[in-house]
Amino acid sequence: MPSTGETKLVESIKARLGTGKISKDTLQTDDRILARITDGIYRQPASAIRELIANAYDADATNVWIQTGIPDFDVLSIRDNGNGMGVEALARLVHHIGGSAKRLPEGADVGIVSKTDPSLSPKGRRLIGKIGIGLFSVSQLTRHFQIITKIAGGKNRLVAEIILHTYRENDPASIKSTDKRQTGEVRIKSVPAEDKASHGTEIILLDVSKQTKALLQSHDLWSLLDAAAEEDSDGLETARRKPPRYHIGRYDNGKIKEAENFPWEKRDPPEKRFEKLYQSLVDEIEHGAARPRLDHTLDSYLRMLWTLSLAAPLDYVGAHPFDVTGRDDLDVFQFHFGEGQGQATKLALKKNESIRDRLGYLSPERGTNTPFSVLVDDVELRRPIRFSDLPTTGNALKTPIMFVGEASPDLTHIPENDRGGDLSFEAYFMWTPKVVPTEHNGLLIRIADASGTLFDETFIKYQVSEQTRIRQLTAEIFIRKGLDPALNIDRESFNYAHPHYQYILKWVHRALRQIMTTLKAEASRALATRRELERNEQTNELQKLVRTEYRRATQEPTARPPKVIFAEEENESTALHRRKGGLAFNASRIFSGRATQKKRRPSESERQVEEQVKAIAQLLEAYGVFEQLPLARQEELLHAVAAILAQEGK
Amino acid sequence: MVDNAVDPLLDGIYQDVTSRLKEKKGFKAWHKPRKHHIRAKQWGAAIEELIEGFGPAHSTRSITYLGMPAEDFLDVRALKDICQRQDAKLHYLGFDSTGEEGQVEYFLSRHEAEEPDFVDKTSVVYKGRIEEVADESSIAFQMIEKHGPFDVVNIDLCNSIAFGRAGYFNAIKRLCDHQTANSTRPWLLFLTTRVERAQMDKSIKQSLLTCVLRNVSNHESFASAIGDIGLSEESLTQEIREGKLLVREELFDAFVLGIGKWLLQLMGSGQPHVTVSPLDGFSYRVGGNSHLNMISLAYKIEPVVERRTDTSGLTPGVSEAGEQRPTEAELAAELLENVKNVVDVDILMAQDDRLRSEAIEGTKELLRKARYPVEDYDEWADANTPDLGCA
Repeated sequence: MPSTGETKLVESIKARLGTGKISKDTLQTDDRILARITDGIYRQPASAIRELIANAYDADATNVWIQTGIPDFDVLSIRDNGNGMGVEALARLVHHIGGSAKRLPEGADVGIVSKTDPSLSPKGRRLIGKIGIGLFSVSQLTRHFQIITKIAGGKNRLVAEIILHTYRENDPASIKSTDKRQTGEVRIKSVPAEDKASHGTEIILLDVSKQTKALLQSHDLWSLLDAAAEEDSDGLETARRKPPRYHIGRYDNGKIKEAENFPWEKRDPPEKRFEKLYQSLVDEIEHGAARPRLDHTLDSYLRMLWTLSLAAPLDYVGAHPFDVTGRDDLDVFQFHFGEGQGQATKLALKKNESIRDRLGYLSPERGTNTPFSVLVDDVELRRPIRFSDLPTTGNALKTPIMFVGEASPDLTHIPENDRGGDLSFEAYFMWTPKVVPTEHNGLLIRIADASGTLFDETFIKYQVSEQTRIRQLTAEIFIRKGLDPALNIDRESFNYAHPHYQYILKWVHRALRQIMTTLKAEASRALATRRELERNEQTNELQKLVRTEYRRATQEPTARPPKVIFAEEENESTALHRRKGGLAFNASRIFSGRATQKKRRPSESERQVEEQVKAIAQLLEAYGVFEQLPLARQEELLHAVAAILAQEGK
Repeated sequence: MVDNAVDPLLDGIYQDVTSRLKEKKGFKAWHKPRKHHIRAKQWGAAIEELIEGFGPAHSTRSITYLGMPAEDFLDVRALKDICQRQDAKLHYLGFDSTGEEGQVEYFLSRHEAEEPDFVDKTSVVYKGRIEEVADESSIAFQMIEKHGPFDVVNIDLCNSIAFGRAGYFNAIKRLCDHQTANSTRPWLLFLTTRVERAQMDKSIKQSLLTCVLRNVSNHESFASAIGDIGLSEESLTQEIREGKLLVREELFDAFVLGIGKWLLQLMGSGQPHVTVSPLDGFSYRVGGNSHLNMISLAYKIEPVVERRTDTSGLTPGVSEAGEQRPTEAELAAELLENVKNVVDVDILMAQDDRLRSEAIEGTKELLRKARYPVEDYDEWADANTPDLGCA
């Protein structure tokens, strides 16, 4: 049956057939379509869990406890101490799959939004959940779940069991109705509660799908390693393919096939565990990774912790970027936008003065400043970004540079209907020689301090010639007002055409130009100082050549190739050397015969080959070849090069 | 002909899901007042004493518990009340080997039991059998390593520890090894088991009785003392060699003594040293029998801190003779006393109205928390009083 509005529109058009007259109507959305969209919207368990954390946050929870059922992952539960749901709120939830009362004034009637402002939670937090799809995002993980919920002061607790149906496109029963569709069945009971004061909600995912379990257990990864081992005749393939350094282990039928390896110790408390997880990525440099990557270092489970910690409105592992002070080891510049391109200027912060003190920045603005803690199994999440103790390189610029800026554009010349409300934001761009992990290179936009997107490494499709420098940037934009309507329903992407998004795009691209100009200027200042030093240095032809080529490759007029050492074994000094931005390799793996004749002095021709290999290694680094390769492969490559050069010398 | 074989590609694509939300009705065998008496007088009392011994420092006032919480989480609920009284925090690892039908109820109980903040939210229930702990390469053992060592280990069986193969013994041995290697403070071991000839594996029975017999052969005083519970070297030997029947009561006592002796010799071996003290035991009847066939045992295990000895003569003021550790004979005598003093909780409940009504009220309180309608409980408890035969 078409709706009344639809019938009227049909009548209106028919009445004007052939007349050239206009029939006008407002556009309507359809709950059924909404339900279809939210049905299995996510593939990764982290996305669904992220939405459930968002729900807990929006319900004013200060604590979220997640049990994943590691390592079997048979049952997953997410519990919070939020407001909980009363009978009406629960009934509304199950009756409006995909389209909840969040962000609507009627949400206040069932106690899920503030009475005065539907964009806030009852206790004043800025809502981060989109349209209440959170709960049904679990449909990709299971079709069967349980909700236990209670409101403070309530004498009863509500228990609901929900079984979702699989969507059938060709089932007339499911497409007949124009506004509702049956998406599953629910059973609810109310039981007496002893603890009247307690409140909160727990979602328990029963019968977690095999696919989800396989994902959390990094099934694909281990299978790949098995396959590599099977096909391996010369042992090379096995040496090349290694499991990520940290993982939850591998299990089969209740038995351990490969023991777990966590970056923390059993005695570490939950918050310390996360710090160690973060540090494990930084330490990858000491293990020989040119650019540490999450997917090379962590298995799916640990990566999920990382992804969740990036998404939720949590505190940083260290200080907030705007709490960086003059005492910290980085330079701070402020963007200036006016006529023309504008130029960033240096903020000479006093020792105890923070960026926030100087510029009056307000982020993170979460509405209220109530604490929020998320515990996943026995790890307490923190935002995995740090602004001190960062790895360096041999570049002219060694100190990280932070750029900050804000915008509250006057959008009044755009008609109100198309403006999408006001827009206001603060941002930082952090330049550092090595972004750790590599996946943090890019721009991440936070609304109400939360995000569903990952870092956009294109910086909203910025066309740039400075490939090296753009890969050395991490940026976050903290939206204070607006943009929310441009966030797509999955919270993982933006509506490109929205005026807020378009404005941010232009702002970001101008900011990037100021960054590049500043970096160039800073680099040439450093160059002048360095030239002075270089004049005093005895430099041979090869070094000069390499330096020129290195600078051409990195487009860094002041860059210096990293120092290369060939060590007899991995030890403290190789780790330290890499930490300082140098390259360290095992001599015996590169130069044939070294392992057996350690004591022998290398001949003149061998020394020459060694110098040449060093030079080639420096160039390979400059062209980013090493970034693609684990240490073992880098050494294989250099071994081949050394062999060719040795052949040449004979 | 129609081939009924399922396409192997369908594996994991579809999982059948059935509703598990049920209404709560009917009391279970373990809801009888006597179980509450044991819970309060044996488990509760020992745990409270243990916590009090930890001292006032808040950081140490936490209890790690290894248990087998069933659908109602009665043990965890009761323990939570103790922790609340003692201002201590509870961390537990549960083993659950029940099926999935009770799942929704189970998670509701877990949710309630963890409210309010006396329970550490990193507590978990592992879906598996406690026997799996025996295998060091099992997830079950990994759980023990993660959550242990424990202050309380509660192995609460419905069947016999001697049933089938030696799975339970292996698990307890592995647990004790882990406990002694990692625990620096006293801990409690509770063991509830059926004691019935039909549920005893022959070789396990033989091994347990041999533990007793060895003591009999080594110590004359023990040989005569076991006469008090109707045992003799001869009757034990016959039972071991020929399966010649000890009478039911004798076998019951011999079995209980055997478990104690086994534990004593197990814990007496290896390093670091520990002492094992048996606490009050309770016996009762299940399965409509008029004879005793269940035992609830409790032991306190304490690490021994031995003083250094200095024979140099340099430290005359602080060197005294090291404390004499009790001999095997003394320990065995203590164990025998303990077996003799096992309380028949069914008779106790029948004879002591005050204790019985205390236990009834306690059970009702706990069942109410587990959302049972308790109006009919008194009636049910009366109707389900065990048959005490001619006792």
